[in-house]
Amino acid sequence: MPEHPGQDYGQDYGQSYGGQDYGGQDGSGDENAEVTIDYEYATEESIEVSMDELTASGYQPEPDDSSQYNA
Amino acid sequence: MPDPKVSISGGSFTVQGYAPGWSIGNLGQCRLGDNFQITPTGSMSDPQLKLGLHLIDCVWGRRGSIWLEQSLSAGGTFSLGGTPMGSLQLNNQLLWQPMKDLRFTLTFVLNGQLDQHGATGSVSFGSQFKVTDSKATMLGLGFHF
Repeated sequence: MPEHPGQDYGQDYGQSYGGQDYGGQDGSGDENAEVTIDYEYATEESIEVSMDELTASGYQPEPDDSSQYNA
Repeated sequence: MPDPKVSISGGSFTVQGYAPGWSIGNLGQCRLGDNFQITPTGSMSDPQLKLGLHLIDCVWGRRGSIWLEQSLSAGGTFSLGGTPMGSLQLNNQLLWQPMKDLRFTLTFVLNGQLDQHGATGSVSFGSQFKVTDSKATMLGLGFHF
């Protein structure tokens, strides 16, 4: 098993694919080769969280001070 | 109307996680702070940090699973044996498949204020995922390479 199977594993089957044929939909090729999928997602939503919900999460309201601060 | 006790403007928090053996869906079922480190970015006061972390708990509990599922409606890219190969359309079968290797970065940017009734505002959520498993496993999820 090559260290980086995606680069030359076609040779495992006695054929040279030049590193280009990596199996295809028929599942041929080295199925132990590792596939990595990368993806991203982003969204923006309004939030409204009640004090009951916050305290249920463990939040303890601040004493009555004004802690306004722009991060 | 009294001034808000705590307000947050652009408070940013990042969760960088490594969860081998987890599925993406598992992330939506957990309390992030119990399993991963949530790192604030920028300067925030202690009250802001405390509020921000609890807001993330509440918002993630309510919306996390939905966001994770929605994230699979988009596309991604894939690599084979470390070699970039191209793009692919994701599908929901990926959601509950435990992955050999699951790495992610979640970002939460919070804007809002807290008064005696609770917190209102907005959250910008972003996520980056890198999931790795064998080609056989990925084929079994319906992906074609």
